[in-house]
Amino acid sequence: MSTETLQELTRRQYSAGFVTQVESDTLPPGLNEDVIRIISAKKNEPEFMLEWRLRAYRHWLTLREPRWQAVRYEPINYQDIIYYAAPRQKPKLESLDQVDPEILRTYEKLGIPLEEQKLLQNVAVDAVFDSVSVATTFKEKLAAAGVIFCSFSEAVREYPELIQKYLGTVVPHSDNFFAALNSAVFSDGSFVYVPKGVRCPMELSTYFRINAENTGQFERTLIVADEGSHVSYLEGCTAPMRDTNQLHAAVVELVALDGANIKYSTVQNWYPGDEEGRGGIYNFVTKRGVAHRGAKISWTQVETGSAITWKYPSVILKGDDSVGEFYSVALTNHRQQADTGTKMVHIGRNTRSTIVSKGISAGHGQNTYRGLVKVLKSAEGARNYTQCDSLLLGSQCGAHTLPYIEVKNASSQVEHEASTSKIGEDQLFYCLQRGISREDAVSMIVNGFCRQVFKELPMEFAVEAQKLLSVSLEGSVG
Amino acid sequence: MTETGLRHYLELTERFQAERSASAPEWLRAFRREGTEQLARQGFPTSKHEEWKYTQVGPLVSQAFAPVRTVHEADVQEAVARHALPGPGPRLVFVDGWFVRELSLLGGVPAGLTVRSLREALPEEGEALTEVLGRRGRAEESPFTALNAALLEEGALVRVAPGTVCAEPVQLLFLTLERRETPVLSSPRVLVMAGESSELTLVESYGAVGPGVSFTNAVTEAVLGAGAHLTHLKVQAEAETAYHVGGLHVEQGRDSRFASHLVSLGGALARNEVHTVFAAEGGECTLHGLYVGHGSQHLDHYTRLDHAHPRCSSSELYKGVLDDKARGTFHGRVLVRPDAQHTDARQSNRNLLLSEGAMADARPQMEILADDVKCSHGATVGRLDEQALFYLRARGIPRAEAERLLTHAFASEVVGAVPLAALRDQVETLLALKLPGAGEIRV
Repeated sequence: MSTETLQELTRRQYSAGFVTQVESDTLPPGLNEDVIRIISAKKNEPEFMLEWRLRAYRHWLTLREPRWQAVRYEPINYQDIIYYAAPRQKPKLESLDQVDPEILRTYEKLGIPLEEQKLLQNVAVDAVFDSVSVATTFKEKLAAAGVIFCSFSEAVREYPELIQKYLGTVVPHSDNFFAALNSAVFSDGSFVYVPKGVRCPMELSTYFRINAENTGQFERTLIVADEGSHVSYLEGCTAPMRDTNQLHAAVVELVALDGANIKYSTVQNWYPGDEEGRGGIYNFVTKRGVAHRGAKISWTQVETGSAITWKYPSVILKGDDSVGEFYSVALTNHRQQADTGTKMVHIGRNTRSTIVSKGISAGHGQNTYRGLVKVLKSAEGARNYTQCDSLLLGSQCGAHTLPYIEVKNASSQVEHEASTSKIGEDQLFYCLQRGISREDAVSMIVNGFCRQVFKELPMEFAVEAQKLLSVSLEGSVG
Repeated sequence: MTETGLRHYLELTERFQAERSASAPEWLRAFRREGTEQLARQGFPTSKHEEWKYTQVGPLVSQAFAPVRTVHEADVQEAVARHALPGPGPRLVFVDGWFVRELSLLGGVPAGLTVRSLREALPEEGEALTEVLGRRGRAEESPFTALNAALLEEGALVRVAPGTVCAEPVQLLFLTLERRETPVLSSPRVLVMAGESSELTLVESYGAVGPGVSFTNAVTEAVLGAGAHLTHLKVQAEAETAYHVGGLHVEQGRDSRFASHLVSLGGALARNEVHTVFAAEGGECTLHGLYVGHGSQHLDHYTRLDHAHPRCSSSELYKGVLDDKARGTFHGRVLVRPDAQHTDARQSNRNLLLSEGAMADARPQMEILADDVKCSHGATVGRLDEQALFYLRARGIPRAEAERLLTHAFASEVVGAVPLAALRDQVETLLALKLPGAGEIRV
């Protein structure tokens, strides 16, 4: 049958793997209070930031690495990680011309030239290249609308009062092992503030890229949407091929004040490791949003990369009538592992949440959906709908569905549905009979399987996501 | 608290074993000792244990429950009559965990069927019992199974010879007496050997003679030969002040068919576990459950379906009705092993919350390691459908009556599937007393 095609697809190598030669200003590996002081000093941070980092570090020392997850990896030596690496060129840039051409070429190889995006897609791009932002576009246009979109370090310097007010309010430094580590050593990230009643004039996008061997990347993103505002944020990543595992422990915090609307979309295509599971990124991320009265937070993710994906983008539905959404496609191929899902915590009255999760396993991939729907006593009239579907491509992979449903209010309604299946022989046959190649047929069926999620993505991303799936998912077909 | 509780139980088992060391053969002494050792090693679970996340065993562990040998009183007769199934039997009656011959019905046992008290069977059957005993109900897998093993003495042995078809159900009736001095602990162990192509319906009924604080820690193990059919029915209607932990462990042979119907009504804290394993191809398994709680009852259900071989199918339906401040918990695991192709597994858990304070936790889980399978699960928590209520009220049915009707309809999906008419009637009667709208009459 289709085994050969499938194996061919599954064997496909990571096409975005290459290392850009840029000199990095790096610290020696290891972590102690001095390293944190250096990071803070290098970034010219105000005193409160250093205090906060040190508090997080001291708390981190008291924590033990969690063990309950369904992903397995070699113990991480936290003293072997380089906690700071910045591209050499330092001066503040006025335009793209001033960016190291090598870096620009890297983006081009990935098919996402900044200029093109700038011109054609009307997207402001804040590119994070190894922990320091090197290019930010469309700033003026955003500034005219009053929207702040800048690197985290810049925000710490320019808008310390906003940072001080919101940093750690959604994911406190004591939240979990990796969040604590991130809080102590985070290098950079993005900050967005949308003022009251403003509809952000364009989609905000950050293209992440991990470079420089042995650099753990600790991103920190904070998005604050003030009352009645509206923002859509895109995050996408690819990384060069390498053999040593890289830890990526990011934290994303979303604050949606009364009536605000935040849409956060991710396309993640980090290096997944080779067929034998060597190398690849450890993607251990804490993502959470708080939705106040009448606010809406929507997470959409397409996770195709990383050796291990382990994250639960969550929404705390704090205010009455708030809405949370989670749309996810997670694909594991070769030896990839994913333990992902969401948490919807209903606190306010008439809060609603929707979860749609599509898991695809191929090769030796292990894919786990783990999700919590918690309805507290106060959440009168809460409503949740959850759908989790798994597609298995190959006999060596696994798909696991582990929902947790905890309801403490009788007026709420919670539904969970899940199914697991493989690609139907009849569907394949139907396509083949009409002259569609097996490869295209599989890719088409899988894309169809994910359609519910893809249609939630912004246009540009939807196209990219489908391409990504056809390439790496070309792993979803075992 | 659990520390002192654990010490109490360890001392209890050691004392128990010392008293019996002279009379017990070596294998039995070793079996009980292993139970104590496993209990000591594991300790009692806390909410940190993933499988006990929603259930605190504190109140159960902190009380000094102990086995008590009873002289039964006259009012037991009335309880027996209430719970007994009509018909010729056989029926074994246990009071506080001890077999009572005078209350039992041992006549009418067809050829090929053995039904007897485990305590009587132990010396005669000897080590041969370990073919089933401890085979699937393993001490190392749960501290409660370990406690049961450490105190192993009484229970029932049910053996069906190959090819024997038993027309009449076998009933095991466990009653707990009202008592005020020592809170009683009973640890019955039921062993079922269903030979090749045999057929049997086994009913386990748990009831109480008046209110009282007691702790039943029951373990049932069943091994089904190739092509055997076993239907296991369990009605747990102990006092609402009682504690109940029950484990059912089943191993299914080739092309065997197993069905479990559980109705959980009693207990301040009741935990029911069902573990089934397909040990060969072609098996079929049905797990049904209904739990109805009110007051501050806590009814916990854990099921584990292990699809270890290809071409087996399983279907699971658990439903909960929770009123007042009751809490219902369902944690169902379906495991599909790497080579278990052509598995068909369906699982569903539905909960109805009838009052503001009621709580439900649902954790359906699928762990799938084979690709050519059909698996699905679903879970819901909600209250009565307003539209259905409106429909009935528009036709002149008062709200309370409409609610009662709809609740009853919700439960009937499970009750109606109970294959034994006499038992179904019994459950209906118990439900009518318990569901809201039944006035002040509550068991």
